[in-house]
Amino acid sequence: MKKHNVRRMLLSLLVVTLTASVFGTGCYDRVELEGMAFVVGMGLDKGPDNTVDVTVRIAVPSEMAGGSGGGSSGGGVQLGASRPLTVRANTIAGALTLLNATVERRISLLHLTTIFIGEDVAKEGMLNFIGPLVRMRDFRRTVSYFVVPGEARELFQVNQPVLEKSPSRFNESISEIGRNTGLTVTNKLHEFLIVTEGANEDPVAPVLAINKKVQQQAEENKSAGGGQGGGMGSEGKQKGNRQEMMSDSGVSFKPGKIVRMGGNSIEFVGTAIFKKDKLVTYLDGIETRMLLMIRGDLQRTQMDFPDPQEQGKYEALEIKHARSPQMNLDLESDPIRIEIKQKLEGDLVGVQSSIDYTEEGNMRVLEDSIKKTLKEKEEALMNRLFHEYQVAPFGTFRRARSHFWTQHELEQYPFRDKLKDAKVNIEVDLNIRRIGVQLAPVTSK
Amino acid sequence: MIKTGHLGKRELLALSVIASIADVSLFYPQQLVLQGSSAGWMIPLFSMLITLGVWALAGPVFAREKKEDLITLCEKTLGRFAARTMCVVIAVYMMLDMVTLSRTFTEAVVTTVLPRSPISFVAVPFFLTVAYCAWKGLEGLSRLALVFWSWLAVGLGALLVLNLNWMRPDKIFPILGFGVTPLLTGSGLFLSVFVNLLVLTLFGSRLRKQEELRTMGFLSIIAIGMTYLLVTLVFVIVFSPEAAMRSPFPLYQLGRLIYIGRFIQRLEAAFVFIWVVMAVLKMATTLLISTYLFATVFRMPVFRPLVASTALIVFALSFYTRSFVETIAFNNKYIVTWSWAVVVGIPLLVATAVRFKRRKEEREHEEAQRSADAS
Repeated sequence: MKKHNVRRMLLSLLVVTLTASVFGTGCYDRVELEGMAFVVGMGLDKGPDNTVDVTVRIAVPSEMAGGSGGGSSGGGVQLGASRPLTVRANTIAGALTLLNATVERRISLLHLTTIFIGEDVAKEGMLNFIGPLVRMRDFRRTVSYFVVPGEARELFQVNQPVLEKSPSRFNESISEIGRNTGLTVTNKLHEFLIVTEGANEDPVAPVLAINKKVQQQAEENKSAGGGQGGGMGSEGKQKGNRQEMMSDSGVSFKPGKIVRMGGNSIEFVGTAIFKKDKLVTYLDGIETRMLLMIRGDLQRTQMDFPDPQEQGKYEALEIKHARSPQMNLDLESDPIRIEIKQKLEGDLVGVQSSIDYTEEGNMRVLEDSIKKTLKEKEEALMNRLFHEYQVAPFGTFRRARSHFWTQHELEQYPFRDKLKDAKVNIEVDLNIRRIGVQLAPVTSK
Repeated sequence: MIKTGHLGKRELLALSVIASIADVSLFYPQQLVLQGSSAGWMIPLFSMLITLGVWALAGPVFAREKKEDLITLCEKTLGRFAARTMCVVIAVYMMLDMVTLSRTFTEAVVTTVLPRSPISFVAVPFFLTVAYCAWKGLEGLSRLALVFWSWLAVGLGALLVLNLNWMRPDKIFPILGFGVTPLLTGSGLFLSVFVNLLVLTLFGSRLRKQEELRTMGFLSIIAIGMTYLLVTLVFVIVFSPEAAMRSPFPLYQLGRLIYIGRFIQRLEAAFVFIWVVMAVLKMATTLLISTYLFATVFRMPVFRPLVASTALIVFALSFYTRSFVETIAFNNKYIVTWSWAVVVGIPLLVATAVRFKRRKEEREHEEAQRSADAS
């Protein structure tokens, strides 16, 4: 009996081993890593006659590990990735197939981290282009996306990162940097899609803009053989003087208009505002911060405010939400009323004037001045977007969903019409909690 | 009664729950959202309450009648013909359920994980595994369910929790979704997932302490209802009702969406394991039940000779529909619309018949005693 059991067990083992050797050694979906071309960044521009121009950069792993050699050195190239390739097709899927007419390995989107959307595509409607992508199994909804004022293709060409060598790492870093600066929003495509599909909400997108002056400087430097303008490989002296290159007198937070010299020609500042899936306008860096404050998405960020007591001086504060903003909508009133209560807290990080803002009375004056500034800017932004464009990127309607019993009631509500004359009231409460590592300001005797 | 071995309490509980929640990994959550929109998660809740009510009526009957199961009780109360008809109805239902499950499962695997593989390359090993599990019998199958029980619970829990960063609770509003009527009809139709009632009433007599069947029924119904409720709720608040209606593979999609910083992402492959285990266990259980019932109808002493042939029939039928979409349409039109009558209706009908019969017998007994006392 025992012997019989052992024999059965051995026989079962043999069957399992044979089966595993047949089914476990490979299958139809076996793909060698050496046979794949992983797209790490994709740009979309509108072509003529309803076509789409798809630009990709493909990872070149051998360059990631090693130095800067190889065939892909030159203009518009990061280490670890190919030169930008552009192909025109009717659909993105078609473009990926056509790309394989020139790329020797199978194109895959498995490692795609970022999509750059050209302005013309964004204006026509993102879903026409992005919608079909969502059905593809290679594609993930967790990719980052940026709107590029101008052409996405150009962005690939001029990009010269200051630090990052890997294109994937660059893409991931720029999608996160907005959390620290508050100058741009941080979004994944999944968020764009669910907001677009929902009723009475509008998505936003971070903006990557090309600073034409810095680009020009980089090109001049390149033609003079003085490096490429970016951080990496910027050997030699930079061409152009400060007076010429930074001729604008003020401080700018506009996408592509930051007054600066050197560095990457690309700027990570500003927000694209959509009406459903169509781009309607851009916000600059400061307006983006207001947007984030209203939405309750502002992380700790540094901001400059004019000194209320000494003209021409500025005080720097690090601001964050003390608690999530409270938003109340009165949908019954005509016009509808939107009330927002914000509670912020700040750290004094830089005092330019000679006034001692660690003294309680002065601190209250500074707080009141900042509260007033923020209230005015936020209300102005909301009024502009509501009245001029009837867009709702502030998450206001999210709070109103509970006002309706059924989906039908919600969809019937003419929210956009009501936005035309909506009344907005924002109450900002700010407490300066900390004052840095110094009490009274440094003064000379 | 065909010999199928003895069962432990925990093993049967695990088997009955897993056999009922396997559909959560396929398109059921999407169907719930399609039915109820933002209130889709309430449908399992209402269905759970209805099923708890049904079990409150039927459970005590099956727990009280020692060594009696659904078939023997039906035979004793409604007659042999009714019992055989019932067995055929349940067995055919189980086969149809297997047909849609196997087709949707294999199509889902091909769509999401193995896009270049022929469907038979996925289906053949799947059916072989299922047939082997069913052939090993109820005892082995229930132990297998117990082994995977905790893994599946942890895996499902992790899948839901790791999507925390995408959750938007406001998406559960409007609270009534498409309205009260779709919610109520949906709750009625959704009773079909509570296959645990059939598993318990057919195999509960194999328990050493049959009186525990009642508690097991309540526990399993709550576990199943809560699983569907939680998965659908998370699905709705992560994807929004509008997007959830268009996403046929909720667990896979939730797995793909996990993105917690640079290092915790792309985890869906781990969750495919959960998906496969649940599908295999459900298929094996339904195959076992259908062959067991056919064997009972044909008065066969064992069910095993029927396993291979039944699996082959199901395999062939599973390719009858032309596409994944057609399979879902077939499932909604026939299985979902009528299966509540099989899954919940039959146990309730038999339990009610037993109660009537017992009451009648008691009344007759009392009358006989009264007349005996009088004489």
